[in-house]
Amino acid sequence: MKRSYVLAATLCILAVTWVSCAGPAQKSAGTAPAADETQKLLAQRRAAQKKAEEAVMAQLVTLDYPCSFDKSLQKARCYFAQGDSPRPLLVALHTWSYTYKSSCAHFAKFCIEHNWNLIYPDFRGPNWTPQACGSDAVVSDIADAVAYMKQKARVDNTRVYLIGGSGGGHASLLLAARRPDLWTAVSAWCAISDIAAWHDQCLARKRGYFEHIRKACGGDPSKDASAREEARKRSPLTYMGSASRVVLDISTGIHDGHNFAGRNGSVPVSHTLNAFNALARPADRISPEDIAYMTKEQKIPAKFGPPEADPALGEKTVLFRRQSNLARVTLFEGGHDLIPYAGMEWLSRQKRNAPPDWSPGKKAGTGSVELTK
Amino acid sequence: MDRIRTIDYHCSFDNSLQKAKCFIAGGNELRPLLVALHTWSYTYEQDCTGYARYCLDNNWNFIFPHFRGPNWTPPACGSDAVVADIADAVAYMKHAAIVDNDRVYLIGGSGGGHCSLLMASRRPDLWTAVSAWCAISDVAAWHDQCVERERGYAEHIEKACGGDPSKDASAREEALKRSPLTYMGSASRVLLDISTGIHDGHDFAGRNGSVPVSQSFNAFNALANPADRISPEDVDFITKEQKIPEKFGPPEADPAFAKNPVLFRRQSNLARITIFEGGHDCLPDAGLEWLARQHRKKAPDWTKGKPAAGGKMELGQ
Repeated sequence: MKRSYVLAATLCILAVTWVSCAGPAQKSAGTAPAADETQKLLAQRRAAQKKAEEAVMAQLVTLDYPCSFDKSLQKARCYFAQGDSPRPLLVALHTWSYTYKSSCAHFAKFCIEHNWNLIYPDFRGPNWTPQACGSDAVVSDIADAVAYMKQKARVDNTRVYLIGGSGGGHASLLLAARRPDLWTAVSAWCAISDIAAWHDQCLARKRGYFEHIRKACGGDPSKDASAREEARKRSPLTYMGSASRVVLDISTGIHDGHNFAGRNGSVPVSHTLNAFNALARPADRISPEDIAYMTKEQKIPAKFGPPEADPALGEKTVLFRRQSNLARVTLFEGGHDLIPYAGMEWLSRQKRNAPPDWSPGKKAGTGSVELTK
Repeated sequence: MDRIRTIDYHCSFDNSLQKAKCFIAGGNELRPLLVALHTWSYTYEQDCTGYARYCLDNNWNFIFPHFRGPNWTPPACGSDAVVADIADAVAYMKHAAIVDNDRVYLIGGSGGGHCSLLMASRRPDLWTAVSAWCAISDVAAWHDQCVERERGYAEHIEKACGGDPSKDASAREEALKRSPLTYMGSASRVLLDISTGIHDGHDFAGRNGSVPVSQSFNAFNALANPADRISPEDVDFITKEQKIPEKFGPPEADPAFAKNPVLFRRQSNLARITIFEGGHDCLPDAGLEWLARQHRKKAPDWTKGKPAAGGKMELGQ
């Protein structure tokens, strides 16, 4: 009984949305003026969710894997697919202020259900040290995570996927650009694409991340040339063109970068739109004026018209979508969010030996997202 | 042209030495590499001036490999040996020359277009961009088309495949293995420009074009988004009538195709198809001008090209 409740909770709660935690500044969901009974039920739901996450995470193994950058061992959590046939590999990346120890239950649940290999590497932990935050060590560690899984698991080389949100979106874009050879497809959510710009944006909005960036870059990138160079080296935008041969899906909620629904979104949507522009045909790029409007007004200019719906995004409506070359950008009704199911469902349809599949996804819970077993 | 040398280079497929024409760019700087492929019935000794001249003028590395010669033997015609030989030609040049790994290009027309598509899909890792002209994408279909039009290539295919692919299962399997279409999806991460003249596959201007334009369309369709594919009906119409349906409207002019105006053009994902006023032709300067603008670390450049001085290579066989 208890077990089935946990499973049901896993399916119901985990699958819907994940409020991506971009750091210690994350706010609680606001105070509900609810009756005691409501509070009690909410507490029960939270406890059930926590239990469900723990049940999923308990199926992962924590291990040390060799990292070539400094011949060190780095931590990761892993899931090894069952059976003898090659299975996809998912590399999932933690957010800005976290480590491999943070919960990756949403990714893990999908991988366990679909019998995928998973690695959730530390890549030098929180982004407030020079060795973290998009450094060469980070790039190398994530590449080594792929190599490790290819050695230890039966990985289908035509299906190697990367996903991450927020700080994990930053590293996803960076790895798409710096190691395009590794990935069949990459799904980046509410990503930071320009560290120096984000520093200034965080400073203006009094978000503590600017201090993290200064620690990682050894100074204030807006004032110090060497810190600016460090910020440039750690920014996906610096290398973005190199991601032009990777199938890349970039998504974010329109309200990110703003106070919205009791949360303080940390990354302006311009980061996502600028990353897309660096990969799109000139005619498909979003103009600086439109980017400024969307970023500031949290609205899509009426001229773009309504996009096709995508059931995989569940309750999050697609507000704007554009595809050009091998990149796609999606703005949805939401904030600083990663929608694990939508990302994973899309990834699951990409194969190295087939053209990209940009069609709308299947609604969660409507059968397997696996195209091939 | 006397700077073009003939070399023997090591081929891993059977540990043999194979011939190629080659030019090593001068200086100590990284320079692009162009691999150019001979046509159906030829060898490395075919006149490759159309490609080589550009490389000499622009100080590009250049190799024009034999890849088992004319396509009427089993070791030729899109075999595994062909794929390995062309990959080895790249490896040889990377060893012998100072090659800019971000600018490795492949070009070919007709049989060389067949092989360019094949290499784009079987070794997508090798190329920054590939330019395929009046290419054969389906060897079995081409066999039947050649039988119908009484073109001798049908016999070449039967010799290469060990039988008639329309009748014999093992020959059909051979034709499948030697057809770019079989692997086309694997070219989806390569920048690929596919071009052909609208009159190819027909008697036109005193020439007997040998490859129906459907061969190019089908290759493009295998890489395009569903909404960007050209329907079977439109492919049939264009192939048969040598005309573009009016609904498509006029494409943007491309000065690189000045003498052979663009009639139809479409791009989807990393592939583009161009149908121009012409027949079974390769326009080397248009192809090379486009290739020259592609860089592995940059988003593809699909913009129209610059006017080219050079003419066209009318590909007979």
